[in-house]
Formats: sequence, structure tokens, C-alpha cells
Amino acid sequence: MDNPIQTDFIRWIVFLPLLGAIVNGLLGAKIQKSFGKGAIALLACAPVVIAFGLSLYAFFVLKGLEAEKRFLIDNLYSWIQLGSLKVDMAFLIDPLSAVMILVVTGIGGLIHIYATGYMHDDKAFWRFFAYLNLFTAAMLTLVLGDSLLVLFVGWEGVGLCSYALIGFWYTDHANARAGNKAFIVNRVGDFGFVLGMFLLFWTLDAQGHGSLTFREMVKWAPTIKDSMLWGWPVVTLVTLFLFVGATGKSAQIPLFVWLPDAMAGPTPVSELIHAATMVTAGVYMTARMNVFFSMAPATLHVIAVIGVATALVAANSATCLSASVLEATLRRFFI
Amino acid sequence: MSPNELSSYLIISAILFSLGLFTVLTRRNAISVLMGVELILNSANINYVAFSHFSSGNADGQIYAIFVIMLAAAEAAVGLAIVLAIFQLFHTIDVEAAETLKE
Repeated sequence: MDNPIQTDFIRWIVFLPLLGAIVNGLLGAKIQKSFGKGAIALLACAPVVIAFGLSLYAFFVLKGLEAEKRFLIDNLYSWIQLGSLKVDMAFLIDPLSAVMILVVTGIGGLIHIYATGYMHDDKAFWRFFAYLNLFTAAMLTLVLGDSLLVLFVGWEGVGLCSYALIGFWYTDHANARAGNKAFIVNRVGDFGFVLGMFLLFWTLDAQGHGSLTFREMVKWAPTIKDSMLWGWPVVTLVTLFLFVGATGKSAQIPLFVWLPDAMAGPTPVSELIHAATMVTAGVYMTARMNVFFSMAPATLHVIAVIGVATALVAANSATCLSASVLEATLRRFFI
Repeated sequence: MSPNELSSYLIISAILFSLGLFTVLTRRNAISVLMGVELILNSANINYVAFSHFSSGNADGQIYAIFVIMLAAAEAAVGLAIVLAIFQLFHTIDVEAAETLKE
């Protein structure tokens, strides 16, 4: 576990969709005018499909390794180095993220291809695909991030793209408002996420193991088991704060209000963001921080209660959100 | 130009500053002007972090940079509010159209 294999191809899983977003975003209007919408569609779909190929390759590389050594890491550069805080811009593939990138690039690729037909008559074809590619890149950063901070970059990225895509037909005032609502409600959740991250780093640092890298945090998690803050176990506080972040992204009570309105966006967006990928971000983060959550039984009870309550409310309101929320909730039970 | 020299950071920052200033001076669209201001603020950020990294090596410059980012957010909020007000009054965001104070 201490010697993850350094590989250089993982970065391309993130960079290819990002490249597609940059090309489509900056030159899209001109490309669409001179080469037609087919060129835009090709520029948008190809990176995601290739990224899916790379993800498959990574999956099989991982499968060939022994169960304890299944870590592939791609360290780009040292991002922040300040006192005991040291964060690398690094991507990690382990069994958990391998499954997730297969979903994001696989389902995401199919939705890209479907959207080429669905959006065919839209004037802002290029803008749509620039956002869609940017979303895929952000989601892959979220999933592949090697530390909580890199995950947070992707976390904010998907929030931004979800805002842009829900309000894609912004000339209709209701759509713009729905986008705003999703963004602002998510901000509330992000505040909890940030607090949890600060508190976790602070506590780990007090034990002399300050780090935000997942593998380090898992390693040193037992050292903060007995830490207390204002009479509360720190682990419970940290996991509760992180769960507030997860409620925002995964649309759980009380931060689920944005999801019904989010259907204002184009249908492929609802598919990609609000059913297949973004709502699972909260679940993914919970699974990532599993060590801490399993040390805090109180938080697990809160999660169970909120999960059930959300499922009931969603079933009652009988909007299309129920499917995605139920999925997210049920998965959380299995953790 | 190498990542280990102070001068390379200063050159990048100077380029960003010039681009920002160019945007502010030449654009008439109020939103573009605000974007130029953001570029200028961020070039100052790069200077803060680079100087602090190469002189003392402590966190002072980075903390200043975070203050500047926060100020930039406040500036953008106020700036966009003004742009909205101008749009409601003049039905355009061309900065040169807002000239009623001249009279």
C-alpha cells in the first residue's frame, strides 16, 4: 500500500474532456459556423469515449494487481506546500474510483452521443457541449482526486456546470431561477464540507499527522478516535459537517429543494447530472471517508434517518427526482 | 524561464496585468471591464505569492492573496450590482452610454 504505482496516463482521463471543453468553449462558435454541428459533436464526444477506453484500460491494469496493491497514482505537481499542509495535484485510481470513472465516462459518453441528436436544432449547440465536457472533466477530477482538496475542486466544478446547464435556456426566466437555486443551495452544503475539511485537518495536525491525502488520512484515522471538541467527539463533528456537504450534492433533506426545479434544464443534463453522476458525488465522498464515518455511529444514525425521510418525501412528491434520490439513499445504507 | 526563478513568475504576472489593463481601457462592455479588473487583481496575487515564496518562504504572501481573492469577490458583487442598475436605467451595458452625470 505504501508504494502506489506511478502512471502517466491517468491525467488524460481528466484532461481529454477538459481539452474538449476548452476547444468548444473558445472556438466553438467559429467551428460551428464553418464546419457545422457535426464537428462540434465529434470534438465533444471523442474525448469522453477515449477517456472511457483509458478507464477500461486502468480497470484491467488494476485487476491484474494483487488485491492489497490496487493503487495507481498520477502525481502532476506539488500544489500547496505551507507548514504541515502539503497537497499534491494528484489523481488516484483504486477499486472505488475505478468503478466510478467507468460510470462517469461510460454513461457520460452515451449521454453525449444521445445529446448530439437531442440538441440538434439548438442554436447554442457548441455552448451546450462545452458545458457538458467541462462537467465531465470536473466530475472526473472529483472522482480521481487523491486528496480531499482535489476532490473539492471537482466538487465545485460540477456545481458550477450544473448551474450553467440547468439555466441553459436562460431566456426563460424560470430556468435561470432554477439554476440560481441549485447553485445557492449547493453553496450551503459546500460550507459544511469546507468546515469538515478544516476540522479534520486541524485535528489530524494536532496529532502530528496533518494531511488531506486519502491514503494518509485512512492510515492515521485511529489517532483521532478519542479527540474531543466542546464535549463532542471530533470524528462525529467532522462526519456531520461532511454529511451536510453530501446532502447538498446528493439532494437529501433539508437541501433537496433544488432537485425538482433542476429538471428545467435540457433532458440529457437531467440524465447526466441529476440521475447518473452528480448526485452520486455525495455518496462517493461518504464512501471515500468511510473510515471516519464508521468511527462515528451517531452520524450513521443521522444519515439513516435523513435517508429514510428523503425517500418518503420523494416518493410522496412523485416527481422524477424520486428515482435518483432513492438510488442515492439506498446506496448509502449499504455503506 | 524556469519554475525556480522569481523572474518567470514576475513576467507572467506582468503579462496578466497588461492584458487586464488593455481590457479595462479598450472594452466598452461593462462586464468585460470587470473581467479586466479581475485579471489585474490576480496578477497582483501572483506577485504576492512569488515574492513571499522567494524571499521569506513563509505564508504571508499567500494569506494576502486570499484576502485579495475575497476582496475581488466583494468587488465583483458590487460591480455586477452597478452593471444591473445601469442596464435597468439605460437598457445597455455600454459604459459610455452612462453619461447623464456629465450634464
